[in-house]
Amino acid sequence: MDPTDLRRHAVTLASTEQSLELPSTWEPVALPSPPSGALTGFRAAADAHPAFRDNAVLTAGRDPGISLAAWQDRSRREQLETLPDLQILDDRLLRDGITWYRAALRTDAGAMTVLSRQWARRLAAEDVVLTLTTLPVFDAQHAGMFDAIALSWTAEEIAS
Amino acid sequence: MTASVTTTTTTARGEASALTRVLEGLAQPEPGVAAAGIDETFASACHEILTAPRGTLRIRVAGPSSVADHRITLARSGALLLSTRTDRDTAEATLFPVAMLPGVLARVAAIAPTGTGTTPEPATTPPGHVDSDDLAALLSPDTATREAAAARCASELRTSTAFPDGPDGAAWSAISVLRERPDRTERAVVVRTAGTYATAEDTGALTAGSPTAAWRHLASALA
Repeated sequence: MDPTDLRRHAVTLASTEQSLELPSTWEPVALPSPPSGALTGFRAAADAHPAFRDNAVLTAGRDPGISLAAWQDRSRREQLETLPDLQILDDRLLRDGITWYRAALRTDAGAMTVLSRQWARRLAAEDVVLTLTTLPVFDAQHAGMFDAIALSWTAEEIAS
Repeated sequence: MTASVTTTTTTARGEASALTRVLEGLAQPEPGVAAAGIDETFASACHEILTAPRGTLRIRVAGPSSVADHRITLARSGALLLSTRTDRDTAEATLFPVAMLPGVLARVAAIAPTGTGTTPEPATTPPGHVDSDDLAALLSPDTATREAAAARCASELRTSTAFPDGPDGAAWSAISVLRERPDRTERAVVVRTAGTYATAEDTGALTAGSPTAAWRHLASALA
């Protein structure tokens, strides 16, 4: 990713302010409202692959009132129940001690196998998740860009 | 001939030598006898793939007591996975859509989370090194050859930075992915101990990494 060709996007989701740096060619995408919480997304320009565009999704929801590890245990069980072919490759607390990281393969609605990487954190009253999704064959090529996007992610609660 | 092979529309299981004969027969322009007693849908799909292959992916997962070999034949119409193990007489063949290849690769290579879930990822460490012949020997189908190489590598790895948690001699595995195309071949190797993956270069250089990094290394052979 060209470091001079980045744009920081800031969004308000539920009672959080979140931001992340994306390549300037990425654009916001409209997503349906979730049953609870809030989400927003961005996707790459349409030139990389005819049937798939790399994308980033940010979510915010009410803090589940349990530890980060217990929340992620629960979310893993829910994902395995709802996504029958989900294959979890990586699932652990990162060295910063506040971010849970998960990487998994699954089949998307278009019958393509995609690789999603998720970073989850708990704030005081909200939980927030960043999900980056690409095609597995592009993962090695896009890894540096995705790592940089994940590193640029900020999430704070709006002072009430 | 096919009594020891049982089939469904997408799978075949049975004695390894019998299943291999069936698939060799289905690769012929006129499968005839080879298809006798085989599920028609399975036989027809296999025939289509095996008579017009566009590439092959070979995945080997070697551990202390056995070696599993997976050969994936890729074609425009679909893919066929043939799995055999050195410690079993039986084999299994599975048809799947090419779009599912990454998931099949991750499953047969057994890339999975390490540690307890709350164990942080390994610290960034400089690469370690094992003898390149030993690295190749870890992938040998011969148990004595693997054992000897694992013993030699264990002593090197114990002082290596590639496996900061130290190797667990009983739990290692070496995974190789070989992608054969008409014009070139790509190969990727990963070594796993109980707590850590390391990506391996042909020179024997090992770099500790997360399961994500191990997956990325193996999947690079697909690109």
